[in-house]
Amino acid sequence: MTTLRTIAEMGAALRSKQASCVELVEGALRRIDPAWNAFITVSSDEALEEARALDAELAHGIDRGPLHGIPMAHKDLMHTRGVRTTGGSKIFSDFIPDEDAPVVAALRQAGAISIGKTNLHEFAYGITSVNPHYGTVHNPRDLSCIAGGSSGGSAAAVAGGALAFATGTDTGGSIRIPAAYCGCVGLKPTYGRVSCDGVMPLGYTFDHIGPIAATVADAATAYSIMAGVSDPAPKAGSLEGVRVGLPTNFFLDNIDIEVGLAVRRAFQTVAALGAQIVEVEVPDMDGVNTAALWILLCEAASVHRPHFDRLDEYGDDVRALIHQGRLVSGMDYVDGQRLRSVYCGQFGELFEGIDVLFTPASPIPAPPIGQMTVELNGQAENVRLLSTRFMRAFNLTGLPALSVPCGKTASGLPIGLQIAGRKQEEELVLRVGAAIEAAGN
Amino acid sequence: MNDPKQPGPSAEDLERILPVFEPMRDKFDRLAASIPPDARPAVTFEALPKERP
Repeated sequence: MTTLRTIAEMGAALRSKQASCVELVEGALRRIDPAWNAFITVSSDEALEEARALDAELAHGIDRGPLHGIPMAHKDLMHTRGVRTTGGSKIFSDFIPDEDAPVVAALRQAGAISIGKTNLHEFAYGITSVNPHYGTVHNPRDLSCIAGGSSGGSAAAVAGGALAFATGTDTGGSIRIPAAYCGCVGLKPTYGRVSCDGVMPLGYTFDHIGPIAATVADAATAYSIMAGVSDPAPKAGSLEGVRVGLPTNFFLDNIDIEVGLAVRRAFQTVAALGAQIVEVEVPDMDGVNTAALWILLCEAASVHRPHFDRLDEYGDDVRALIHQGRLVSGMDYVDGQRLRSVYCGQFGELFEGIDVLFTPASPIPAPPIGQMTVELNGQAENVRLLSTRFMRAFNLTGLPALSVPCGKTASGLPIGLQIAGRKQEEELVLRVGAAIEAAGN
Repeated sequence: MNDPKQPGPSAEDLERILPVFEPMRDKFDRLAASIPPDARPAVTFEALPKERP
């Protein structure tokens, strides 16, 4: 059987009886490369049992829709009934939930088959997916590089070709960063669009759930089931009438040269399709990032307060961040939220003049594993701060943002374009993303 | 430390954290000083039910 990559290809093969759900699951399991270390738990038996039941349904004319029989995986923060959910931590290494998170239940109900739980940065609190308890996730495009994080395992499983999509969470870029570093598509929907119930929290007012997928169309299909909305079914084509924001400050400053070139080509692509390029000045992004980080430090410390007596079982980096959060006062938290109001207002005004904003997903391509700093334009820069630099604004404001591949470096590492839009306008963000994808930048 | 009942960071932890935290603290303090007086928090009691059950 030819390897089927997309949801549509697999669905067509199922319905024309060229493949069965069992075969699709077996194929996905076979394609997992242990070198990625993308999974904490592989649930082959459960997946094959579900596949047999879904094959029987199809044989009886029961079709649950586009995800019927499609193998996928959940980031190991999502509660999965009967399958352990570690959060990438030691302290939850034996936790087996009794119930599915609503987003897991929605995907299960739609016929998606989870083949396991993907590896991540411990408690989703970091961007490298270097996990002290379950090992480092390796980037399938270059095994010596990080996959990004925190949803690194999900991105690696998709980019490596094992799956068409997997779930992710994004509190400060944790869907978009690994999607960019691994060369796949990651959608952080509008805040609240996908339920966070049953998903281990990190920052209550920043957490978002969304898909990481091989294509924009697959991301759209998975998102529609996760959010309970109709499939936007994005088609590449004319972008006449769409106003694309070109930032004149911050987002194109101090970035890798190859990243800058790829992002500028994306502007040319959409202009050729009829989009209007509008130069815009974005709010004080240094302030945005500081306010966002300050609120998150505090919220994450609150989340982990029940485990303060077990912090010695945490990785050094996560424990340090939690301790930092304990140093943030209540007054700081309130002031952080007041700043957030100011910035949300400014972004609202920004989006009155444009429909989407283009930025690089990251100023750099995936850095090597273990490297804490990279040299950028002659300066040593912290990998974590660099990777999240263009991300946090859209967690702070809750605006939807998509990372879509827009090119490669000379050494073959993927480059991601971030497309942000107005609240609830995922459909437009995905449509513009489909145009970039089709151009094959 | 805002929670004296819980074990706090060790001296070793603090040694690692403070050099990173203090510059952030300064940055945030400068930012907080610039907040317009009429700015209200993004998370407010408006999210709570309007009437008691």
